[in-house]
Amino acid sequence: MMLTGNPAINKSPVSGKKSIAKPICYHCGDECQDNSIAIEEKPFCCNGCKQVYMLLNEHNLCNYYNLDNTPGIKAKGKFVSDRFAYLDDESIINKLIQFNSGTQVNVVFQLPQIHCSSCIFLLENLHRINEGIITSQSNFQKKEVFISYNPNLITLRKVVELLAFVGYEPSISLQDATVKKPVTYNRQQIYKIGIAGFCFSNIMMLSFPEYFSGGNVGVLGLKETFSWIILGLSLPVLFYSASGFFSSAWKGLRQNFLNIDAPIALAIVVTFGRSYYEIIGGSGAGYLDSATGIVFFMLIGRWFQNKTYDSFSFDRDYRSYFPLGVTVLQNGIEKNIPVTQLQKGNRILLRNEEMIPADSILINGSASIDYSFVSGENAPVKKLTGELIYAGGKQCGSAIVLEIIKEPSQSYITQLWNNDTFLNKKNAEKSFIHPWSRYFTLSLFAVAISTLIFWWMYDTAKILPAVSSVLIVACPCSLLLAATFTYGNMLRIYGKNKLYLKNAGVIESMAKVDTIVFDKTGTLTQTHESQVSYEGTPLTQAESDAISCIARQSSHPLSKIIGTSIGNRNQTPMIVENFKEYSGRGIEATVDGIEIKMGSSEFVNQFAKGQITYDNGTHVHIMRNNVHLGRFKVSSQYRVGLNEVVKSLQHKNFSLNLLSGDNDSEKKNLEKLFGQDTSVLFNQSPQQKLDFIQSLQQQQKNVLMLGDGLNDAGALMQSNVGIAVSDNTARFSPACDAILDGEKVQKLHQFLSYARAGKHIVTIIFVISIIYNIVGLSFAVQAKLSPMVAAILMPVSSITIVSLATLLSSYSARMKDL
Amino acid sequence: MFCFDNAQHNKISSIILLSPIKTNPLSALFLLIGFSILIAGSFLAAFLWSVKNGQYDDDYTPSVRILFDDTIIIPQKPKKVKNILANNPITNTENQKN
Repeated sequence: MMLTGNPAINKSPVSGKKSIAKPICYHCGDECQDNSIAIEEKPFCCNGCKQVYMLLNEHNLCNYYNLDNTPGIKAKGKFVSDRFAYLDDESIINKLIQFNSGTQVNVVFQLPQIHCSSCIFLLENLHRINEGIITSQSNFQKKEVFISYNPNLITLRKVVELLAFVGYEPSISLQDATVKKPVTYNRQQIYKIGIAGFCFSNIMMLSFPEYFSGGNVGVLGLKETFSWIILGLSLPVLFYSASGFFSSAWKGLRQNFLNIDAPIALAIVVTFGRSYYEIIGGSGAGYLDSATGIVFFMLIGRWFQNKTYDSFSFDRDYRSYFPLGVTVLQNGIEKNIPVTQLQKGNRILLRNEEMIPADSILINGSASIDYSFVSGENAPVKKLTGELIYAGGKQCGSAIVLEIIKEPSQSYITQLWNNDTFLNKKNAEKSFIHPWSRYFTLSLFAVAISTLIFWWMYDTAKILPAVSSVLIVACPCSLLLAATFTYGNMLRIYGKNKLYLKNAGVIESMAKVDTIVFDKTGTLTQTHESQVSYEGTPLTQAESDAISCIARQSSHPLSKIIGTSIGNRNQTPMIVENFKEYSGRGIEATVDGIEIKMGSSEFVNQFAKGQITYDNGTHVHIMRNNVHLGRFKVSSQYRVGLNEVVKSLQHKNFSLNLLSGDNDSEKKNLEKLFGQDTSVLFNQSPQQKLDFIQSLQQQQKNVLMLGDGLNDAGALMQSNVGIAVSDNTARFSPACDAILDGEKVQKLHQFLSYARAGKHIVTIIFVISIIYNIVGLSFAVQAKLSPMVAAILMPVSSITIVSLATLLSSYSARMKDL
Repeated sequence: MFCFDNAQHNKISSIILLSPIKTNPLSALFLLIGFSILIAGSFLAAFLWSVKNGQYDDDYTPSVRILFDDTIIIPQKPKKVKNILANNPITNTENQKN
């Protein structure tokens, strides 16, 4: 058992007498141990929180606490002073900042902690805490803050340290330095919609005389003037707003793929072309009102569907959570260098909570590595001097020295990204609306040609009007609208249920899934909920109270878990005496005359002379008066409702598989959960997981993978739908198609059946839109499509489709209890 | 519109509007249409400007920001500001280093 040397712990023999209802920390809302840390009757759970409060109080920023109850983010205890030392490096600064004028520097930070209006208040008032900060502005949805500061008064490092101190530690990663994020928002789309809307509404208004006069506008010159104004107004729509459809159609055609934009582009060209021909030739008023309206509606549909979750990043690779800088020891001197310059043979110094940037060998210090980023396993792994340590873990405890044996990009975990799967970006799934649009286009051409033949035989003058009307009225835009609005609405409904999809294409892929692969740790088990079991001589009440009391004095993850799990909430605080912490190994103390030692097997063996033989790292051994009593086993707990999910998925004939990077100690439990038919594989490396998915796909299966850690990144990428499960969506997730909140894993079968329902909804609406098309075509083939009919039919069909799509998808969600 | 008959309607209109455009009772329309498009265009311009200005980039934060009360800031000497940070063992790194 390893314990971090936190000075705050050792000082506190718990001295409270009455503690029936525990006070709630005024800053972060956590339960406080007692009332010992308080200012003006405001209790705090730790000194960190108190200091943040003092700082805010000093600067009249206590409004922070009025906007929201206990908005603060728990101060993370010990704040390593050199943690951000790499931000003093000029080359790193230049990579992070956006603008530097000598007296003003602009920088944007990602702050995943932003969660309430208090956060916005505090972040936008940073200039009141430090005069070096000129202005700061936050973006809640992107979870970003823009800061401009005066480099003569404050350094970048100090800015970051201030943010980290008040609880908003920016996530600065290697990716920030290697890939310059474009800060442009998707304004083009809004411009296009705005212009199309403006032109459409004005054209509509100017077309009224035409509608009401039945085509005969009485006033001399009025008709011509209006027609020319309309023509002028339609030009920006054709050349600017609709340009996306043309370029997409052209792109598709060049790859010999007829996508849905191709018939749309054709319809736009024909409609505008014929309208211009009529207006310039003076033979009619054209259909520009309907044409611009359709472009406007389609743009809105695209915009509705393309709503993305700004604060989530779906394309992260290892660079986005690897540190930017690292402390290198050169001839005993500490020096900060960017990780990219790290070379084989370098010796690095790694402090508490810092991440291992490359595969290395432990040279010095007691290493306790938390691999939860990689495997989802939360119990730290202990390493001995000379052992190999893989990149991606975090050190918990005192500083260690490592020697790099592989460059960061060649490490065990990062070489996954050199795999072909990551080089070829996952192909955009070819949506099923594209084949539909192909049939649509073919039958449209069939109708157009038969119309041509018919009028060629009876009245050659009507060939051109009839054929062009056919192409105008049978615009496949209704297909596009049906898909965009249905999927757009479904994306929002999924989002409400905490499944955040990368884009609408994922819904279609989800509808096709027939095989599901689970990762065990972190996906089926809860990362932050652990089960504690005790084996050995039964403990008396006094003993367990004493153990709980001692364990709570330590900040080590294992002792914290034990302290809270066996502790009695209403327990009377006891006096802890002779508390001693052996950093990284164990603790000893006396409570009420009971002398307890607890810690790792080696620690306890010093006193027990080899009484303990079996240990796998997550055991905490207990000794009373140098007699071994037993051990606590900390194991992960399975998620609630897992049983029901598995049952209903199996009921729906999904084939289930389970991959685990762990050993097979949990085999029995898993078999009980999944039954005999499920294939369960243990000890899987990241590469093996990827290969397993690939082999399923070779059997023509559509695979959905649920994983969480970096070690699943390859499998998530390879699968048809990769869903990253995360207990804290603000934290970390590997590249994936969707991010799912850990609490909602139990809704998986509902999500999948909803995706299938979505496909049915789109099909139903397609059928309805085809009925509209038949009505329109019946006018068109007779060469009787007046602008009036078009102007009524097209908006009516668009509006019915849009409302049907929204209503049906919302109704279906309610039926599925989403 | 490809098959309408202009002749009859033109007769009626020529009876109502005997005179050329100058005395056309609806000639004011031309001016008004011009104005209406101008006004509508200025709204479009305002919209485009607001997009360009970034007002559509973030549609949530400003709605929260406007609700913050203006707190009365008691003027503080800049020295004091520095002192607080300096006395704070956590924000000040030099102190801790030494």
